[in-house]
Amino acid sequence: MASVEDFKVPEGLYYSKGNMYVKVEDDIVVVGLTDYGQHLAKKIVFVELPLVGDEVSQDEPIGTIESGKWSGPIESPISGEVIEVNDRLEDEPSLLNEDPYGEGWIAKIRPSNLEEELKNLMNKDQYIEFIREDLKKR
Amino acid sequence: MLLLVSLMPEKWRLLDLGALNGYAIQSVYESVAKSVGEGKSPNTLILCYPSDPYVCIGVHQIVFKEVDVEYCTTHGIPIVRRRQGGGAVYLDDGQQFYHLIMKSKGMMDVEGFYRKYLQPTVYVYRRYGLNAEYRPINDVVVNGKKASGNAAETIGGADILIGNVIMDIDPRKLVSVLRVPDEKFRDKLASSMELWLTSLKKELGYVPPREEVKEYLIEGYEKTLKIELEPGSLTEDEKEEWAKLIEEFRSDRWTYKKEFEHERLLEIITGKCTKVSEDVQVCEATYKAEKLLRIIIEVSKGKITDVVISGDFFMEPYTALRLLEEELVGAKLERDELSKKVKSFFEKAGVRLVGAKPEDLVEALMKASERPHL
Repeated sequence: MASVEDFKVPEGLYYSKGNMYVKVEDDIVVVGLTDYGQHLAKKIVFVELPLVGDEVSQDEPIGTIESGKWSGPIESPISGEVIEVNDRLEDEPSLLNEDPYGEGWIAKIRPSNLEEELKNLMNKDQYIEFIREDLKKR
Repeated sequence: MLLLVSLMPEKWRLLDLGALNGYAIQSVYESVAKSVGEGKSPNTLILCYPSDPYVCIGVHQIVFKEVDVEYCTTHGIPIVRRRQGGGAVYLDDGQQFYHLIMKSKGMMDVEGFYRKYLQPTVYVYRRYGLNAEYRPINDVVVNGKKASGNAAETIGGADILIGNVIMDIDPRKLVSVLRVPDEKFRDKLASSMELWLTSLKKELGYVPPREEVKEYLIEGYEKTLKIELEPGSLTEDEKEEWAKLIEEFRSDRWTYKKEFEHERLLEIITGKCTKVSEDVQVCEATYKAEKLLRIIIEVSKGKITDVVISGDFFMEPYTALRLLEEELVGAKLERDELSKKVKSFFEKAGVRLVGAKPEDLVEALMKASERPHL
């Protein structure tokens, strides 16, 4: 049985209930699936990414992941315009499992309402608590 | 009063849709998902089965690479592309399907989901007195053999489980629709399926009445999930959505969508692997030594469980080939172990190989093991 300590939750990032993270880098943000999120999905074998130029909304689908045993949407943790996607994931979807906060990032977004929307997200401690509660429900 | 309400089992809708064609089966759960996801319809269990045989292919597969289209056309077997991943599979009325559609409560814990929602399937087999259990991640096994196939998806705000109780299965029919390198591969695949898949007929010695299987399924869902299933019908919105989806699924644009993606047509196929069950795969590879070597292996948990070696090389005496194949059964798919086995075989048996070196055999075996999923 997994426990909350099994999952990496880096300091300084923002987290959504859809298990996505937001890393703020000046005027853009990097988004990706969290370590806990990739654990839930199991080994990811296919990713459908957004297109550069797509407008995405907070908590709305930004793409699809497929783990061989399940397929489902990934939800954007922030609204804005997609300015870059991690094309490597198309050939190496396992990067999402192996290095979710590094090489496995999903997209870079120019946020349209950053300050307001960050309030809807969790910090490290809140997300750890979220995982703890989520694990209890499973 | 409040306490009484909370103790009452949650009511889910039961849709017993009887016999449906493949297009209808593969789209009905999607048409219900949206309304369940939006809370317009309750959580739903759909029971149905194929009125006629069909081949169901995964969303990312290339039809002409996986399916013997000519065979299917001449036998009137439609090819239906589903929205989910995975491999090509032949389906007929030897199956009883269940589609479970539930309002999503956040990102799915894939293993936890199957563990919970495959309990009703386990219940059905146990109701017949069979030794059934859940096997991670998405199988139900009876005496260790796969007895039910399952897939999961989150779509339109609903979590969906799609699965079957295998009532009767004929591996010859299963492999007849697949595109395989040759008949030898087809035979191997069929015998492997015979060994690793099971059905109610195989376990009980007879095919139980479908009504009874459905009754046990309903009983299983109600008891293990502590819910109450109420017979219901599709809403007008769901019917409309279903009709639209059936039309889409029938279109060549959808069925042959990969063929329409030009670059996929140019893919060069050099070998293939077919999954028989969670732990067992049959793989094929050809390797060009001085002469051509062709390897078919059955692999389970990283070990060779069967192997067929062929090609246009010569081995003297020729009967030694079978001995070598036997020697390789049980070996780990690791270069060092295979090299050692092959080398010692040729040293001690005084067998001569012409047109290939023992090292080439090792290379060919390693190539067969490089296919996906191993």
